[in-house]
Amino acid sequence: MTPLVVLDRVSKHFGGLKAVERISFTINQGLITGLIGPNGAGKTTLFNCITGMYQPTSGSITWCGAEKSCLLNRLKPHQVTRLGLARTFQNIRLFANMTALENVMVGRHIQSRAGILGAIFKPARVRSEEQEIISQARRILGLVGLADRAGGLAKNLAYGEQRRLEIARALATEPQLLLLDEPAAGLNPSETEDLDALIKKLQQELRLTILLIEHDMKLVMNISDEIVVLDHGELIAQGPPAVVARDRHVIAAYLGEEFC
Amino acid sequence: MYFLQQCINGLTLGSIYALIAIGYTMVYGILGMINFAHGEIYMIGAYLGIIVIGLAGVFGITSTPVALMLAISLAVAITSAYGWTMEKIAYHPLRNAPRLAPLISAIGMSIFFQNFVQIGQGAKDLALPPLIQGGFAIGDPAGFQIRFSHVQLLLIVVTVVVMAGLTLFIKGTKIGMAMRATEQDRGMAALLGINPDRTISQTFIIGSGLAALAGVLVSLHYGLVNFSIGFLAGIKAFTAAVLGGIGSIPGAMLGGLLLGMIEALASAYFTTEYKDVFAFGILAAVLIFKPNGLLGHNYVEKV
Repeated sequence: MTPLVVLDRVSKHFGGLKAVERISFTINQGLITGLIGPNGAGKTTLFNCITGMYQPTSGSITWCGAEKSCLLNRLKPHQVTRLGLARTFQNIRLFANMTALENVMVGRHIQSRAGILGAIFKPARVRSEEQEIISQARRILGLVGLADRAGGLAKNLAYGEQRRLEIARALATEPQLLLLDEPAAGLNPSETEDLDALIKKLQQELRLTILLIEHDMKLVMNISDEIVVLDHGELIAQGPPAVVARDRHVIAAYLGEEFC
Repeated sequence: MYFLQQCINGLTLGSIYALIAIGYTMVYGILGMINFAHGEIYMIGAYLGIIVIGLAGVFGITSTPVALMLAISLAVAITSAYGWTMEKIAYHPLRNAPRLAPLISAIGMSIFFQNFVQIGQGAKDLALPPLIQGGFAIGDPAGFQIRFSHVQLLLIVVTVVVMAGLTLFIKGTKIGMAMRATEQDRGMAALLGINPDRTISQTFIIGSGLAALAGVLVSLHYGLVNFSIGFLAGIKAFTAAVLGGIGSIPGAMLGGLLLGMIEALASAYFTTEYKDVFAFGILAAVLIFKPNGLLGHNYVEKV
């Protein structure tokens, strides 16, 4: 197993609030890692630290990509994305007034080389590059099952479709690591099953590494190779799903001491 | 006939307002701030146009189209550099400050630019001898004639072409898409690998370039500039942007043309002194009855 991201004693404090406190774990390449914990456990804060939206108060987050390894702590979000990380959000953050296709094309943005002059005068090279971006974007929409919704405005898509479009847009940046923040939130059971299949497909076909925050236990236990449990900003358990599900601390955190 | 004449005058004036209003609306869309120094950017563009035309004469360039092309391209390029620098110095450091801070910084930049030009170029009006003369006269030579000068025609044609070009640019190019994405959700755009600082700089460059273009065209039309023309033009263009729906580029175009028409018709059928009253009366009415403007988005935030 090769590590892709190594977190070493990462803390994030907001004034007196210790949202994340000395958390260390490793995200291994090619695996689906589930990040669970009760509300307010610090899961999203940890996501924000990894993707450069927050600077950790202390500790280090190391990226061990195929091309280069470096510290993620001091990078800005767009630099983190260029390394090969992409994420979705708990509350949907699509570009509502752009079409589904355009949303994905924005994600392809970093892959294209055309500068301001190329964008205006459009030499043949730039034009073929643009065609390439459009066909790639369509292919990604097809992958998440939205091929026929390409021309629709994002705000007019059904809720479940918006969730999948968020994943498509994240995929467009060609990440090695995909971070999904509660992708099943608000979905009905059959949509959740589809999502389950989609995430597995991404792992197997695109060889993606996935870090997943989810409250739907069935989904998490089903698809995760490893699970990390947080509570009150601290790591209380980690390991394969079957082991974590029987862990005394985890049961205590979710159900209370008396159920141990 | 008289009405048609006023429409031509209104379109000319409206084209100028529209070109300036686009700069306001783009910056508002992407940063959520009113760049009060934008009128001064326009004024600098007008000055640069006259200076370049003067220099062209000194260097013996007598052909009017060449001098004009030179004036437009140099004025646009240098003014864009001013716009870029202004953003880096006055707004970039205040990116995460409360909303009032960049606004005050913008007013400061406005005062600075006015005084900078006043000291550098003098407080007196700077005149440009008419470069393009003549025009069309339609109608009975003995009675009322519609006058449509070549400068007016040039102004309207250039504006229409530039607006069409800008629309295609925003809609179809990578940078235009990055601008729309940054406008809708800056944080998310950054997460997708778009450098927001660069996109914001590009917005200022484009907005300033369009204002400079308006400045050069105005100095051709009226033949006079001074250091304070930016103030009123800026406020009028701001009115146009609000009328069309601030943040919306087609809105700024429409708002500019409408405002120009309204002013021309108001001064034709009422009195010239009251044309500003009409313009600002409309600003007040829009803010009261349709605060999102004619083509503005209706932003509802879901919590």
